Amino acid sequence: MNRAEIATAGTRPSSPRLSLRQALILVFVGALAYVAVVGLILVIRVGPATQRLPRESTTVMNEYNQSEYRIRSVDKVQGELQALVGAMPTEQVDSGLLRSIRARLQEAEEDSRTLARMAAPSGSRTELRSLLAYGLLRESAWRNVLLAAAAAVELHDAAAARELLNVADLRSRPVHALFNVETSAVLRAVRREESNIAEVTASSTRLVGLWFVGGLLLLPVVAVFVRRRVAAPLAVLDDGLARVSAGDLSVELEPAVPDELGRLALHFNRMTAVLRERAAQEEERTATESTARTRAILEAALDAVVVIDEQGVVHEWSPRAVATFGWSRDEAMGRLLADLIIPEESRADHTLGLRAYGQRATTPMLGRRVETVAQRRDGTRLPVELAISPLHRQGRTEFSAFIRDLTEQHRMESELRQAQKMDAVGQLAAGIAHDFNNLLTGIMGYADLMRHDEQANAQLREDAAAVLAAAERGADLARGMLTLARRSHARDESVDLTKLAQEVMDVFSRTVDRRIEVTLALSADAAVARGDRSQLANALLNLVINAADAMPNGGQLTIGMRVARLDEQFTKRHSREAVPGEFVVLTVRDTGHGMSSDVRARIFEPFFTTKPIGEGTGLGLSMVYGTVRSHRGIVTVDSAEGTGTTFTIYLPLDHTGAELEIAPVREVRTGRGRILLADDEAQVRDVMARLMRRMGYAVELACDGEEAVELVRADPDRCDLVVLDGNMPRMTGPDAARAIRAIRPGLPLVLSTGYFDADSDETPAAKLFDGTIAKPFDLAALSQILATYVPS
Amino acid sequence: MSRFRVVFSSVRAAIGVGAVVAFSGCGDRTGPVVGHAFGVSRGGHSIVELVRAVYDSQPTGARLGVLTWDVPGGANLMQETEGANFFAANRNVIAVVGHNGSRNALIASMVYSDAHVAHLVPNATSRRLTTAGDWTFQLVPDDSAEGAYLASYAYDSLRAHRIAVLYVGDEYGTGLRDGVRSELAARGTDPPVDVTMVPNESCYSAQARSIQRLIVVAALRRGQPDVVVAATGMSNARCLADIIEAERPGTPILGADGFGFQTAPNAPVNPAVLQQVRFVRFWQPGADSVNRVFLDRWHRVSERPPNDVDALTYDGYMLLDAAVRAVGPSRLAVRTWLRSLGVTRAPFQGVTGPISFARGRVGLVLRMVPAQESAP
Repeated sequence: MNRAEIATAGTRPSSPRLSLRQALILVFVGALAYVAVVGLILVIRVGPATQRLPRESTTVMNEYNQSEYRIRSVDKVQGELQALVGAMPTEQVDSGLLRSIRARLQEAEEDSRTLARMAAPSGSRTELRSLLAYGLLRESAWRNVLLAAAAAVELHDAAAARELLNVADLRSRPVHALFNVETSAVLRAVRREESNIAEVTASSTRLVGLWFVGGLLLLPVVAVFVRRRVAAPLAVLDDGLARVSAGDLSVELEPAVPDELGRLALHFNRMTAVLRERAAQEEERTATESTARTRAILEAALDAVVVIDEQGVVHEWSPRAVATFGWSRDEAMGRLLADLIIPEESRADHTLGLRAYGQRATTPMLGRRVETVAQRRDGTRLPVELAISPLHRQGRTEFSAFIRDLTEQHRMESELRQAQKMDAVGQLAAGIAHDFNNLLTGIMGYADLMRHDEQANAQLREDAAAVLAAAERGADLARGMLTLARRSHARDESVDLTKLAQEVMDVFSRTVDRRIEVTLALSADAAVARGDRSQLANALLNLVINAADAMPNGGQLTIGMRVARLDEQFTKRHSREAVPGEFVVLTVRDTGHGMSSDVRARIFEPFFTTKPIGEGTGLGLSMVYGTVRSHRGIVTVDSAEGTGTTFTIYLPLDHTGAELEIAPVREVRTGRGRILLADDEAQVRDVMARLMRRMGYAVELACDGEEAVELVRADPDRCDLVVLDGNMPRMTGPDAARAIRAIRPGLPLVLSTGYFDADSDETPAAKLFDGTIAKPFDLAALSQILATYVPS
Repeated sequence: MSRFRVVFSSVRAAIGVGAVVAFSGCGDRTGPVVGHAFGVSRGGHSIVELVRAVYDSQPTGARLGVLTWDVPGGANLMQETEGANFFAANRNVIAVVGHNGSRNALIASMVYSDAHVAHLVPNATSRRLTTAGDWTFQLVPDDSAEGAYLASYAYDSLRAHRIAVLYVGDEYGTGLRDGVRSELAARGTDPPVDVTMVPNESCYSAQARSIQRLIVVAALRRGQPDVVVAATGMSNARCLADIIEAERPGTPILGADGFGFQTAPNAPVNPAVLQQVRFVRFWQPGADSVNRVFLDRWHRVSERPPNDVDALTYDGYMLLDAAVRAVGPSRLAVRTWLRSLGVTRAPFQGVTGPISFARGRVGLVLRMVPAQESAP
């Protein structure tokens, strides 16, 4: 924890100091007192002096002016009296002038009395006051003489008047002399006031100057005081806030003085403590969430996640790792990874890789996806994809490994390759079968004609029957190839598989080696599937024959039947065509010699066989595979050398109902009507025309679809049925059917085809036709189709 | 503290100016006191003794003392100011009675107004005292009122219609002069036939007497008055009276309270003059109980008959005694109590008559006394 003292930048005081508020008040009061002292100096010393000077000067001058006026007035009175006295012998005394003289003298007397009353003997005017008081007395005596002189004039006593005027003249002299002295005193008083104010001003100026100098000398002390008590603590607080705002919550201030800043520091510390606590809670919450999230990710991860340290010790073992490798988390944690999942032959490389990372901080395994082989707890190997990344956490280096089990991927890739291989073989087989069927159609047709030719001898008809039988075996072979390619003309009907299995096993048990114990484990459930009954029977027969072949010295053969629900995961893993739902599960298990993995990987390939030459065509399991896939089913094999083999067929359960028994009709039916036959194969076209005519129909031939269309367009009513080959040059059968439908919509159309290609254009086009004739066909089958669509 | 003693009032009218007598042994004391601001009348009876005797007879809780102030001779303005400051600075002084004459009383009243000390003025008649402030209480009417009384006396009692005024050019003389003029104007009668200022000088020399004579004679010949109002002091009263009697024998001469004759054994006043001169007095002994008590108390301490200043001074002390007993020894309370007389309280019954200060001293009866009766 960083602690900073907020109250001072210097040493801690030994005694309690001023609080911030007190310090500020002290500074403020000090400044105020400092200024107040200056003001007081000015007010107390300079102010009164400057105010007194004009007041005193004005007063003194007023008094001086009054005295001057009064003395001049009395001088004038004296002059007037002298004039009156001088004129007395000859002139009449002017009584008005005398009244005026008396009035002016009385006025002057009262003025002087008023002035005397005002003249207080104090202050700087003491000298002047004394002079004034003395002068007023002298003036009064002078005026009294003049009053008497005026009275003498009024009483016509010229002698007394002259004598009194002489006395007045004598009494006026000290008055004037005093006035001059008074004038000097006035000037001295004014000068004294001026000198006084100058002295006061100068001394005050010096005092103020000294005061300012003292203030300037005190200024650094005040500055240091303010810096230590205010600026420095605020700077510490500011620094602390800056650090907190920058994210450093460890800062803590140390309040040196319990003042405002001290309380602020305490609040600051509480704030940072709260922030630290919240940050810790947030960190803990984040860590918890992160852990939970990591745990959720690990649990949801499709790949196994393993974390090891630089010594290869396991620190994390995800649930997927548990499922993939068989080691529980508790078992795996703390153990060396090499002991858990790394095969013996790879452990040295693993150890070298860890050591190389410790030396060079890198290894070629890092940051890449590497396919390798791991081993499970039970020792089995599995292909894995490995992605390793280094983790640097809390000073340690760990490695996180994302391990993806490639077993399924490899299997799917194998299946894909198998499917692609089967498709290629199917394409080849389909082409061969198509041509083969056309050939067989001619062979079987001609043989049929010969067999039913009444004019031929018996030997020839037997030969024709032999040809026909051989041709039918060839037709079976062609049908097998089409089944392999899933392009056979399969039936779509409900097949009771339990019943079918019992029938097959009934036939099989008559020919099987007695050392083989056959067991039927059929459930009571209705195991009905939809498909071609004969194809399914052939498939089951192939499986049991292969099983018997695998047990040359006898063993146990078990056929099981049950109904099970397959989920999407299972169906997707084994087939792109199977839909999740209820399936009839048919198992054929033997206790034979089993298969190696290499054999197991190729058993469904066409023409692949482990039997000696001449004992197997290599098409048996391929047909099983094709039959099951064409029925949207799944076939799996589980086999190991020496432990036997189990084939499992999954066929979609049919809920529509049980199998219907339809007895095959093999008789040749005749009829009447016009048939337009289009086929590009001349031989086929010829033999079919001859067969149709033998049945009683009128047949018109066309070399291809286009010709057939032209014939119909030329005369839409020229025939009652049109038989079109599916694959013809210039215009195929379906295209011709569309055109004919456009011309005459109600005209029956039958497709004659050598194979049924589910993926070709014929499939949707087949819906354009009213019926289908699969080549090669026999006479009865052809007559049934024709009789169905040509009205008699 | 030896300078401050119990003093006795001087009587400027009847017994002359500034005679003071020093007492000793009764100056310092604690508790509320009243300042006695008169010089000590040497050899006279002490009103202070009388007042102390009265105060000491009061209950202990309301008992006042008297703090005196001793000056060696007649006090000048400087000394009057110093004495007023002494009383004002003493917190035990509740009020002050005294300061002889208008000039002294005016100076002292300024000090007491500033110090908030009630100042009772027994014998100063200056008009300026009526406007000296709330702390000044004048126990006699001012000069104008006295002048009006003189005019009314001349007009009503002497049936005079030609009234001449001789006055000195100071506050006292001009106040009386203005009072006469105002009274005559108020009556709607003729104004004074002549108003002449005369020198405020005694006839100490032949030249001075000549000057006075010429001025007075000229005035008398101009006005031909039935009555002369002499608004002057004692300094030239005898001189003027002699001149008037010589020039216009039998002419009544009316003087104010400050008018009087300075007598000397070798220079007796002309009896004919004495017959014509009348003075104003503020009090004459009465027969009521208050006067009887006063006179009884007075004669216990003095063989001299009391004059109006004695009576007025006595009234001042009795006023303060009543005030303190009513509101306690507080300067402000005493002043308030004095101001309430005649307003919210009944006038105080003093020796000189009912006393109130609603519009100056009200209730004082002025009396005109022949000079013959007032002569010692």
